[in-house]
Amino acid sequence: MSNGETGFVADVLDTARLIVCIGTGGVGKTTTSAALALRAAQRGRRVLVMTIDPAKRLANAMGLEALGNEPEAVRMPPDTKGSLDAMMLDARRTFDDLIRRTAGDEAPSILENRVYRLMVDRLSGTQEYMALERLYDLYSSGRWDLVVLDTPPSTNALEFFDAPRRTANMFDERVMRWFLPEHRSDAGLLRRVFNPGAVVLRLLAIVGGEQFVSELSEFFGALRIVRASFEERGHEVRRILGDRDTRYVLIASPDTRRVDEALLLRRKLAEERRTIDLYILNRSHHLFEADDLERVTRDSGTTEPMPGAFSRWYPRLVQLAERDRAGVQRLRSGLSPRDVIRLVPAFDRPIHSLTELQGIGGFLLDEPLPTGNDPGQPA
Amino acid sequence: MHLPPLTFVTGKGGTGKSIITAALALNAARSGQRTLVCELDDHPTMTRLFGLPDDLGVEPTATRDGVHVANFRGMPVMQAFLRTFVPSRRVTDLLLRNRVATTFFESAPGVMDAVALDRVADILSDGRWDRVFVDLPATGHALTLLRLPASMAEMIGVGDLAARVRRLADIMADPARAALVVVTLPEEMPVTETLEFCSTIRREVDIRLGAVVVNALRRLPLDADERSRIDRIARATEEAQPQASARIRLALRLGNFWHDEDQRGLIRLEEELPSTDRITVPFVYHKESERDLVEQIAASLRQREPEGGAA
Repeated sequence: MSNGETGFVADVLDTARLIVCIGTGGVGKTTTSAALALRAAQRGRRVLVMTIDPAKRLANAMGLEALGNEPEAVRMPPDTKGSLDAMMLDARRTFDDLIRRTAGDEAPSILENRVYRLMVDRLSGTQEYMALERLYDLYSSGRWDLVVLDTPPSTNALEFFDAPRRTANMFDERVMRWFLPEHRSDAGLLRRVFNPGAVVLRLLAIVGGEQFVSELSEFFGALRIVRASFEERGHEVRRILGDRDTRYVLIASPDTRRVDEALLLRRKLAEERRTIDLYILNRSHHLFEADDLERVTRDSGTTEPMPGAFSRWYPRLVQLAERDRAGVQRLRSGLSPRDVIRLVPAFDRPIHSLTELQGIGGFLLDEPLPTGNDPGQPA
Repeated sequence: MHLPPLTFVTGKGGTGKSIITAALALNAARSGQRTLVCELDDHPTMTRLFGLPDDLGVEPTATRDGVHVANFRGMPVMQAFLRTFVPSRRVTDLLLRNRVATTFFESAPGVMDAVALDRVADILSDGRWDRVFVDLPATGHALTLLRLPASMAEMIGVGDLAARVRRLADIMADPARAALVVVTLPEEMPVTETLEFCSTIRREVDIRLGAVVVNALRRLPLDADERSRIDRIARATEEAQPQASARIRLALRLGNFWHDEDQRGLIRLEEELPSTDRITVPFVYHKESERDLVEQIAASLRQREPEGGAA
């Protein structure tokens, strides 16, 4: 491991104001986010880790009963210079709070509107919108030097970046206008010019009934009031996401499919002029070598035979190692030589406490890998 | 595993639900059933697994395995949906070419989900298929989707759409016609989430829980005696072969940890979902391609009878 790379990760932890962890589900994104946040706190910063995933075990590992919508302090070892708070996004609470704060007298009627209740509770996309809304509040509060954001587990992390635009679209003035009373009065189908709003409304009335249309209308009418705030937020959030002190960490595994997803994401983000600052490959089995078993049995000097189940299993583990080494190479060859990859070996124990989280940080930062070569480096 | 005509498949991200869906469909098609897989995703995976071009349309496309695949996302599905209410193609075309209208359809939460589900109900009633598999999004979004017929029925009391929504809710509630398959890994966190998901489904959605597929089960059954023997052998070569010795001991810890964790996961599923079929699929250590992975999993699904639970 070169000092350059170690220094790079440390530098990210020391200077970033926001670290956005992206990647598909099931690769340990939440755990890695917590490990990064812990290390940054140990390096002296006031850190908040914000997760979407209700991972109770991770909360317990940080010494918390459970994570809630409000940041809670994690008890750190006595010699820690910085601090760590953790929280889990509650999309519904965040949305309700936003309405209460911005809608004034209209707030109660919005909060009771059936369309709103169904939308906020059961319909998709709300998590992404609200993650960004909450992020804005916390980021700009000045209470933390660094916020580590664990993005919602979506099949495609691009959806996350698209959320501000979609939020803005949903409250698009032109769409909202369809539902406002003055427009509905002349909503005769296909008047002189083609009016899509009228067609949509008419369709909704046919398929959903007048009652539904009037509730929708009430909902959009009320939301018109909070729209300005949404727009302003959307604009601010886009600014924060594009800030030079915002760093992007992509979390994947060395599996071919995950690597291909990572490279695709890199290309898509590049189109939007975003760059990924650090690639972390979790659950790596890259260490094992084909002749390990033979070397050990040959030189052990004992007459004890290796148990058959283990002798049969080890070569399969080596197959995984070969797959993972190839995966790392595949990622490496799709990146520029300056891009930084860190490997985190598959865990051989559960994450029970800060000690194990700290161990993960070790792989990301300053401790050399225990054995074997390091295929994370360019050849 | 006995599956009804309509099977919804979901699972936490990273559990392999799409691969399992593909393997289930492959087995159905190979046993002579007319089989369709419906994807509800902007980023299709079935196309890759079955070697089809990515821009798959609403109309079922045949693969060389006999499975048909369709994607129920995007404006073509919306077009088909609108046509059932507005006979004029000219009007629907105008509407879908309008930026404001498409913006509304795409960004108003749930609209595209509802349209996709409506399409599933259509497909089921046209008599062309013996088995329809719906590759749902990951559990969080899937819950939203599965609740949709009921929430819409609550929101929209009358009209054609209400009737269409009720039609799907009725199919889902009929255990002879529909079931939900949940894919999980035997690891602690996925099992916890799966148990929570299943209990939410039982409480809130009227659908039969058909089976839990426990994917990527890692087995290394070593007794305490064997474990310490491997450790002794590895330690005896600590000086002559320090790196190989360390790796063997790391492998031993990994293998034991995986085996024990996965067995614990299986036991929890058995204890908390006693009346649901559990189907285990062994971990695949080596695959030539994603396609090969589907074949390997299809083969193990064919061999495996449900472990316990009611048939």
